[in-house]
Amino acid sequence: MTIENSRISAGQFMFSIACFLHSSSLLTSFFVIITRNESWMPFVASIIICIPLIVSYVLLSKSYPGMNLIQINEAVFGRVAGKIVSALYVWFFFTLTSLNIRDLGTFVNKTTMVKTPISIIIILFLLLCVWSSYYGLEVVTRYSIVFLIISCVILFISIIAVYDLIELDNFLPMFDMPLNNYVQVSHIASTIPFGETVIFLMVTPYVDNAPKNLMRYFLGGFLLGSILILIVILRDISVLGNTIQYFSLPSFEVFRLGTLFQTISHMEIMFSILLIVLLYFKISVLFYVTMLAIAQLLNIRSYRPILLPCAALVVVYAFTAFKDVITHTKTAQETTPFFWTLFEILLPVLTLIVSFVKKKAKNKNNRKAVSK
Amino acid sequence: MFRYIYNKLKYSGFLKTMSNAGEQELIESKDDIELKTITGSLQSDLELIREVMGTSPDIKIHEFRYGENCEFKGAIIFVDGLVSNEIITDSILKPLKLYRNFNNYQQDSIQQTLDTVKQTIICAGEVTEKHTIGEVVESCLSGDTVFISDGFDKALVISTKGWEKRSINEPQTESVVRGPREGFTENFRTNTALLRRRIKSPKLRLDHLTIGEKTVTNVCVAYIEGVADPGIVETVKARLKSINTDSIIDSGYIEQFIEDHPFSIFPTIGYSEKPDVIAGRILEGRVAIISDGSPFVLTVPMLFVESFQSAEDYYIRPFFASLIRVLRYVAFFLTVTAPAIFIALTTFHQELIPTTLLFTISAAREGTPFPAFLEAFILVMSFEILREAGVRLPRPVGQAISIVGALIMGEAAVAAGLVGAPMVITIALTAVAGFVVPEQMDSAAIMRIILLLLASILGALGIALGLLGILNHIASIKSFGIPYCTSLTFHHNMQDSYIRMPLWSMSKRPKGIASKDITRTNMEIPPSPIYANIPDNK
Repeated sequence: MTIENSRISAGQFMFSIACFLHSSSLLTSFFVIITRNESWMPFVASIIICIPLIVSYVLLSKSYPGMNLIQINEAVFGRVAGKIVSALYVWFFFTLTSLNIRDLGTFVNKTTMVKTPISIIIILFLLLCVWSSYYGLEVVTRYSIVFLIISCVILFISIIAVYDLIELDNFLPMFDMPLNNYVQVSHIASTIPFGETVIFLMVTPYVDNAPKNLMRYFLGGFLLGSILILIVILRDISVLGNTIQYFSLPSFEVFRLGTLFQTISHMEIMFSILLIVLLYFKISVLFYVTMLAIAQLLNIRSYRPILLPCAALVVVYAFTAFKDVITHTKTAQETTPFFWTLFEILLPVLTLIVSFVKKKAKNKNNRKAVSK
Repeated sequence: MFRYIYNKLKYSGFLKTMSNAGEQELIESKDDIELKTITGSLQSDLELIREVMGTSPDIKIHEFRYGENCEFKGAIIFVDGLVSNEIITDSILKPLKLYRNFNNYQQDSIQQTLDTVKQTIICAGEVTEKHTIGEVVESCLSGDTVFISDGFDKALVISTKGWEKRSINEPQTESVVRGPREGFTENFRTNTALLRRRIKSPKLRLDHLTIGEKTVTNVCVAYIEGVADPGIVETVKARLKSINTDSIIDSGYIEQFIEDHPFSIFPTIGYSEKPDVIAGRILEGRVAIISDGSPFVLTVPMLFVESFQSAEDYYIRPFFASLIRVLRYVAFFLTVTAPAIFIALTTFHQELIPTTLLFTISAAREGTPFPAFLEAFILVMSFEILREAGVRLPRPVGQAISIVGALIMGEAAVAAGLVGAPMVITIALTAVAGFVVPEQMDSAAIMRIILLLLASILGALGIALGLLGILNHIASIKSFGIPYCTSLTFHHNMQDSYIRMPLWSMSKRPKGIASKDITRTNMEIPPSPIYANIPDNK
């Protein structure tokens, strides 16, 4: 009995990760505020740091083929402890969904629909996510490549549009800050966009030829997505320079400054399209994963009946999580990375170690049994 | 009150069961006659046939005598108009009446006489033996001639189909500049022949079945064995067999009975009127459904991109074909979203319009009394009305309608200040772009109105929500097991979706549709010119 019956191709999986990561390029303000025009350096560092992390995710998934994260937890930690860890993960997925939908609501409210209450935006989007989750993984990840291509085209157009505003001097001065800032930014970058790929451990068993190609495609998707974010950050810094710290949406400002053919100015609409499309993808993946995790945790045959009630909970959670954007940014800088470290780094690595030890012990027992 | 309704229901229900029972009895008695076998006595057999077929004047029963000394009594039964009179005279009546060599006829070798009649006398393409009245009547009604004779307990069914049929014309729905111009007709046999003429491989299978209790429509499932997925073929046949209805008038009936998603606005079964298109699709591994009486042949599975592939794309060189195909996608996007975007821009996001354009638009909209949404809605609706009127009207009046409707009404509405000119331009663009993708025209009209509503409520966000919803829906539907959005989402079969790659590069049949025989061309890629037999003048 499986909750999810559809299969996705490895390519689809890779582009889903890339698209998922790329959607975080809209949230760069969390760490850009701290290191300003030097943000790209800790960002590159965090890409490098995260490669072993991704490898450990893949190893974890490979050592338990055909199992998602919740099942792995149960297999490694045993029934009770596994359920507790899984419940923590469900809370984590749930929170991620709520935070992202809140972000979406705030951004749309700020950029395009100034007078519309956020609740309407959030509820409508979540209904859309419920609809796509209803049909399962295949539908949720179907358009990852299309969305990624759209965002790449928009990225390309935006670079052309702001070409004459780019000043390489904006990257200077370099290494002008205390080391703490760099470390903090690397931490934020590796937990908030990159570490969130841990949610794809819920999806790995449903990828075609899963254990074989997983390493290649997981890493490929990760690198593709992170390099796209890097390009966005470089573009923003080279245009805005040190002033980047004053904007809560640096990309939005860049789009606003750009001009094409001296007639098409005010390209914010493109940013809005990008934002809506990418965040929709991210939220639908997160929401789907949350539902899958809950169904797996509670041993329900299908996650479909719980879609709407959980969506309602997500809406409520999204409103109560933060008072306003400033609190959100502050928390994202100071508290969230430490919380997320538990789920994205400590627990997976711990799971991996425990599983290795268990296997070793088993092998030893076997050998003993054989020698006896 | 409830009791009253209950009683009413009960009463009508009671009536229904009563009338049903009566009908059932009637049908049963008729069935009994149809199940009876041919007795051998000419008079009683004819009596039975008359009872089943009634006394319509077009049913001809011609009794005559034949044999050496005119010792045998026989009769032929046919439906006037369905048969070719020449065949009846030249191949049945003349030989029968003139044949004189029944020397070795004896009472106990009836079979032998029957064989003589069947094998040596009658000169028709197909002669079969039938035993029951029902079979006789059925073949009679489908245009064959039945020969029964005193003493024979069998009937001979002679193929004499020859009714008036439309000649093969250029189809009016899909005209091409370059490419074959013939189209299917209403005649079943002509259609299968047209298909056979395109694909001469013996592997082309035409599996036959009849649907419809009253219409007894011939339906044929055409596919190439080894290329088409056997699973899909079986599914098609199973779904066709499960149709339990009294009438199939057009292939559109079949489409609605066997489609995967009856509640979706998107068609999940393709159709075409052109044999070359159908042959092309069959060669890609699809399954075609030909229905008697309809020039439209259905094909399954249908993909969303199929609506954007025109037959002509493959007959002209790939560069222009690709350009046109990209334009088709753009046109489809425009026809679905243009009014919605216009509404969103003018009512919600004026800051996004370049300043000079904004001045023009606001100047044009200054005197108009209605809100932009209402204006757009009225125009979209009146366009649909005009289109419908143009289709239904007798041809000579069409000109008048287009002049009055399009020119005068549009011009006058703008001049009178009822609608703004930019809005009229937008709707006109929408309308024209809609004709570029004819297969999705009806779904586009519905999507347009939905997006218009959403845009008037939520602006650009509404459009985004609507489009994402539509994408979601497209991703979720399937046509005979194949996802509808295959090759739209960059997974496979990309050489023939957004652009049309050269024919030699499409060396494989589309993945997922074709089953085994995947390779299409076995050529060097790209093909290099070969020079053969050029005389060497040394």
